[in-house]
Amino acid sequence: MKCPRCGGELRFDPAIQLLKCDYCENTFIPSDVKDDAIPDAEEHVSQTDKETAGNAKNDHMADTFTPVDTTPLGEAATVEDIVSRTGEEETEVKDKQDAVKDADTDELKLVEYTCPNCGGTLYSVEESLNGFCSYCGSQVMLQSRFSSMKPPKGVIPFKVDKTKCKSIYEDHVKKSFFAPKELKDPNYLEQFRGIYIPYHVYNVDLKGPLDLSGKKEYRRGDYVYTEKYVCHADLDCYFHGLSYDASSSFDDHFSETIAPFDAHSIVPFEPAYLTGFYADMPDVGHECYAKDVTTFAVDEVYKSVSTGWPGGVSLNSGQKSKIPVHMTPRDIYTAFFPIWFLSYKKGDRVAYAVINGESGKISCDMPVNTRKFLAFCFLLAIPVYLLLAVVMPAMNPSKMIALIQTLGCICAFIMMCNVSSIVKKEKRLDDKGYMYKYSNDKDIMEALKKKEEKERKKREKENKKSGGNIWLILAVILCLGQFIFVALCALGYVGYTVLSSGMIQPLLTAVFIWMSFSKAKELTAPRIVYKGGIPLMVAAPLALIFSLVARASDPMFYVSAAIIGTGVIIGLISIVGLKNLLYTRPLPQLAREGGDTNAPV
Amino acid sequence: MRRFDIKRAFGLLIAVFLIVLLPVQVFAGDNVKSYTNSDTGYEAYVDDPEFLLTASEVDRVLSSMKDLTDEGNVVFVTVNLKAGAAERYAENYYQDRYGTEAPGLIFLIDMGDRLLLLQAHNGLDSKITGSKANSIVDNVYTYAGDGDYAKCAISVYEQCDDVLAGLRIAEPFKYISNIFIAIIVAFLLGFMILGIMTSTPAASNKEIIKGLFSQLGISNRNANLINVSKRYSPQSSGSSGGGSSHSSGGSYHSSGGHHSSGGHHSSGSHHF
Repeated sequence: MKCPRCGGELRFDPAIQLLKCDYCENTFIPSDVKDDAIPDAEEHVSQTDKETAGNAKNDHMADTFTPVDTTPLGEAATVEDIVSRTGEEETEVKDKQDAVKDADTDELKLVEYTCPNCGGTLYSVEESLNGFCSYCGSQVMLQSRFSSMKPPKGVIPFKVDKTKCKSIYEDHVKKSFFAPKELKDPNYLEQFRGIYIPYHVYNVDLKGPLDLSGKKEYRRGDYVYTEKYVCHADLDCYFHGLSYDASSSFDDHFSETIAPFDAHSIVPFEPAYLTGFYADMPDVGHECYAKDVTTFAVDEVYKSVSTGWPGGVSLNSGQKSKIPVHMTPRDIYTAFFPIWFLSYKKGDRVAYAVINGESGKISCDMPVNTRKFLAFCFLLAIPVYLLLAVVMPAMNPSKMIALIQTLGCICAFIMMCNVSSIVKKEKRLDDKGYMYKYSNDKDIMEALKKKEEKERKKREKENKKSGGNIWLILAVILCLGQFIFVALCALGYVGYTVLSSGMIQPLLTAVFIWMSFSKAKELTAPRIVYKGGIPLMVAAPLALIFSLVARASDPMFYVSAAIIGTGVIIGLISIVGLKNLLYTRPLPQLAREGGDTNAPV
Repeated sequence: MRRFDIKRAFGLLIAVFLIVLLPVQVFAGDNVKSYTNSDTGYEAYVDDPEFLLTASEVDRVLSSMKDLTDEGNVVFVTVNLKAGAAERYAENYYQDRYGTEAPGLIFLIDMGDRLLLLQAHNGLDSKITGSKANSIVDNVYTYAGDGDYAKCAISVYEQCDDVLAGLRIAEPFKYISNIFIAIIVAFLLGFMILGIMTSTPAASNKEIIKGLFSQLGISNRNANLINVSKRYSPQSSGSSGGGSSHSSGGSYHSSGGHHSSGGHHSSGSHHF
């Protein structure tokens, strides 16, 4: 984009929300400046001629969505219990929303930059790009070519500039005591890149008559009366601006943790907003999140509807499906949302830091400096030791060994949990957008089905709970609580007797370690699990054997304690390594054209 | 006159003999000996039906118990019982002999279960706690394992004396085990701190709605009655509470002192 006054480079300045010339420092409204610099989309490629998936995906948006409900809207009614603005503000807001939906849809001409390592792609209106990839952190020359894409309808311009972004990140890293020192290097922070991530924006209406069943119970003398009701209300509810990220490269975890983006800040898209920043393209269809949107809207409405009925009537459970929901393709559009993005590469792992370019909310993977963490733990052991010298009761040696065995069990359990979390993260089982795109993979599909089944059962359970008599629930909880307390006391006594013998712990440790090993096969780097798990798995039964043999001889107890103590500590040290796997990610292998993480730079 | 003098002298001799020997009573054949502290009235009592000690060893053990009679009764007893019976036996033995009020210590060697047991009663248990008692017997069980029961008992009483005098006793195994436990606990605490530092919660529904155009309009609420039913459920059966409750009244027994309705004690034990 060239300055109309002096021909200098124009950049969008988040501080003033206008385009600013680098040379004459004049400012312009983005919608007033058009860019004719980039020629038509002829290909200037340095690799073979291929179509990008993005253009094809963009075209499907309006064609494939099936509306959730086609019940006609009811008559407009007098509105009570409104949680919205005054009439004037509503008109202004409606005009804004209409402006976004009616935005210009001419093809957007961009330069496409592709990383030869990981296949990650970024788009820009500018023809030069610093030589590093934001996805894999590699210092490479990105391959470029001219491209075009269907532009989004709306955009939230950057409000947080780079200086503020770096300051937010520095404050965050200061609090992370175990972060590697490279993350605090000012030169490293220069690699923050402003990227517009595509989001699907949904408008959902819940309007019309609502009929639900309810009841009221009361006692008169020796009789309990149950009155059944039909509860009627007229709904006039809506949620406009619900957003979910439309890029499979952008992890859903980040989009959830830096949310929300303020829908009131969405303006009609202009290419001028891209100056000085980059963009990603949408490759996840909006139907991926349609169910989440309607579930959110229905849950919120049901919370309000389930209370406040006259005469103390309470609703029967499981009636959320009766709430009328309307969402059509016309109510969904794509918008660019601003993200500051930073990647930190170490070996074959990468960590991302993401900052919401509108609100400044930060979410990042934080690798662990292993040496710092180990030093911290060994130093912390000193006051813990002094405390134990005072409060720890003297026990028989065999009970002492049993206590260390129990701690070993806990260590094995933590190892198993960490390995499961790492597998989930590396396979991106929680990333719905990623799984939607790569749904040909049978394992991912099965995992997605299991997850949806789990969420459905959870919702059904919540349905049954909600709308019930609170006093009855309280009474049940109190009775159950008594029963559980007594059972725990009995179990505690039995458990203490069993645990004191030290027999059961090695068995549990072996079970947890075995489960860790079987999960570890799915990791990219399973060796660390074996290194930590094998010593513990060997030490636990060995220590038990020594302590049984050592009944009358002191030195054997010391040997037993040393064996199991050492095994547990080795296991714990390996868990520190697992934490590093958990808080970083494998280098991305983006399934876009030309990507190969293992290709030489 | 001369006959009267001889009778008088003989009577005096008998009296002196009785007075001197009264504090120490020997029951030949039972290996039992006792000593009573004339100032406090507390007794040191050795009862060795298992004949683990020789006569001279009994004297040595009794001698080591004397200092403790300033604080309370002190007992050394040997038995041959089934496994698990020692603690109750020691408690009953002490209470049968001294009641439930008098402070004291009892050290028991059970040859049936090969167990050393040290119990403190009624006031002494606050200083010689279960933890201390465990440490004391932990330090001496090797002597019993070697068959030197006198040394075992003497060492127990010496350590008890040290504890009662406020001195520390050796707890080597505890300190060494604590090193491993401290490191493990420190790691677990470190993981907790790491988890808290790195957690980033997702936005709540409230925060999300704040950034939306939203409206919750619910009007014309009405509830129309369609059916009434009734169910007979008399209140007197008490069935609404989900089960009957009865008072248990606690676990105390009112007996002639066999159980701890009045006394309290601490104990430590070790096999050898």
